[in-house]
Amino acid sequence: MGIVSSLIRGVFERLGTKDSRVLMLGLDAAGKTTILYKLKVGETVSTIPTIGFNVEKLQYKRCEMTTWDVGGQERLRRLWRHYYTGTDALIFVVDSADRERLSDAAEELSAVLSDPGMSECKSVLVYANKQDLPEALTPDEIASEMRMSEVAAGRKWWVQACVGVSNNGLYEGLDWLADRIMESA
Amino acid sequence: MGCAPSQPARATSVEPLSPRWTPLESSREIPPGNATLQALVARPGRGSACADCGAPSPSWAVLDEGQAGLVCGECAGVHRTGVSSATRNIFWDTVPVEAAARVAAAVASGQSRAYASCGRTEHCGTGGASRQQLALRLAEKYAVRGILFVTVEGAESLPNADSGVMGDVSDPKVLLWLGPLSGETAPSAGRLPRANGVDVHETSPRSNTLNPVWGAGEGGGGPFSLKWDGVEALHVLAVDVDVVTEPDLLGRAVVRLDGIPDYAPLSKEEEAAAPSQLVTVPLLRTGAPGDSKPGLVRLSLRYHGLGEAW
Repeated sequence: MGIVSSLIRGVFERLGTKDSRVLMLGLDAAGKTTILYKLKVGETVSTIPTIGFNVEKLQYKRCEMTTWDVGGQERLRRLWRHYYTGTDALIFVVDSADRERLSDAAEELSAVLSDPGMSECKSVLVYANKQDLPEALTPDEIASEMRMSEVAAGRKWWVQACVGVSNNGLYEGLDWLADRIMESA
Repeated sequence: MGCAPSQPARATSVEPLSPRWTPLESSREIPPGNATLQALVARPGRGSACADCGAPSPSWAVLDEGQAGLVCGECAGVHRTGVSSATRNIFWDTVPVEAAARVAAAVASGQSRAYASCGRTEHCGTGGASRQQLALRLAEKYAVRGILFVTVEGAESLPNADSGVMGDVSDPKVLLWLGPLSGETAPSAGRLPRANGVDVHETSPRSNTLNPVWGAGEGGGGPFSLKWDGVEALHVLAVDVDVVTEPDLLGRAVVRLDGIPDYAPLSKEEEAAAPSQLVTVPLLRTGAPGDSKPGLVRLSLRYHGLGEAW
């Protein structure tokens, strides 16, 4: 295509938005799909359990985050690793009220972050979802239960309290993530 | 095929995926809780229909005390979001034995109207969307049989569609989509199937080369993640990227997918052992001007079934 067009393309890339690849994982029923579509269309869609994956482009600040939401059912978790390559940031969604399975969530997160395929992923946002439920753990409690400082060592991480169905906290979390993505640009 | 007398000239499709791509036959033990519930669903009787809406073959169990029952995916979604988080798929999750017993007892007692006991008076899954819309969306969603991961490794001997002056040759990229062997989703010359609900995946473009290399990750060749619902073919299209005009078609091919086994790995080890398959796909001419040799594209394919292998 020649030099001139390459130059033109380069200039556009610099002026435009930063493309990034965001992976959204978590146990089944943590609220991943609800959060994805709340962020995408601003509405609470009535979701059904995700078979396979959903993918949407989220435009926020100057980031265009291609966000992959992969099903969290036990057997679907085997699929996760196929989505690791090239991931810039991880959103891990936790059901803050599901105390029983918090250790499962911690184990899965630890396995994800220790996979060599995730070496490029520098930032981890944990959505401590379902904060509206009375038995919900606080973000601090979740961070310590999930041993975040150990599991996410060497990465920037943040636990954001949120309520996926009402939007509370979602943009605060995305704010943090977009800043980290722009930093590493 | 055995002893075909002569090599057929550039067929419109390459061979089906080779038989090497077979499921690993491991001894799969159904967890006892799952076995109990799967048997309930399979038997004619109360367990064979969704406790909430009556849809046949429910595959989700609501485990909570007082709401226990077997429900369909749509109703499971309602329970997950509004009422309870303890829903498990009887094929994809491990259902603890005690929970399975509770569900089985509720089914047997006939009081397994799960949502009725959550205090709602009408079906709570519709949430604004019409039932028809929901049914459509579900049909679409549950039609997914697996995920096909395709990485475009590279291409060789592509035709030149550019001036050829001072190394100005084709700027190729490759497009991929799933569709019937032949049909409306296939693009006619100069037109790409952007619309019609077809997901088209494309590699990053390469400048001035007839032997481009892509590969996974930074290489911009994938892996692309394609939801497979049993459709016949993977379509491959190589085009020359032009800044101002429509892309020129360099070549196209169709990979038949009827060799895909319904393979759903259970463990991490099984998943890791499942080989990805390298396929060399000869391209066909599509009437584009330039070189007479159509060239070829190298793909690496991996399939992850979502089948009910338990």
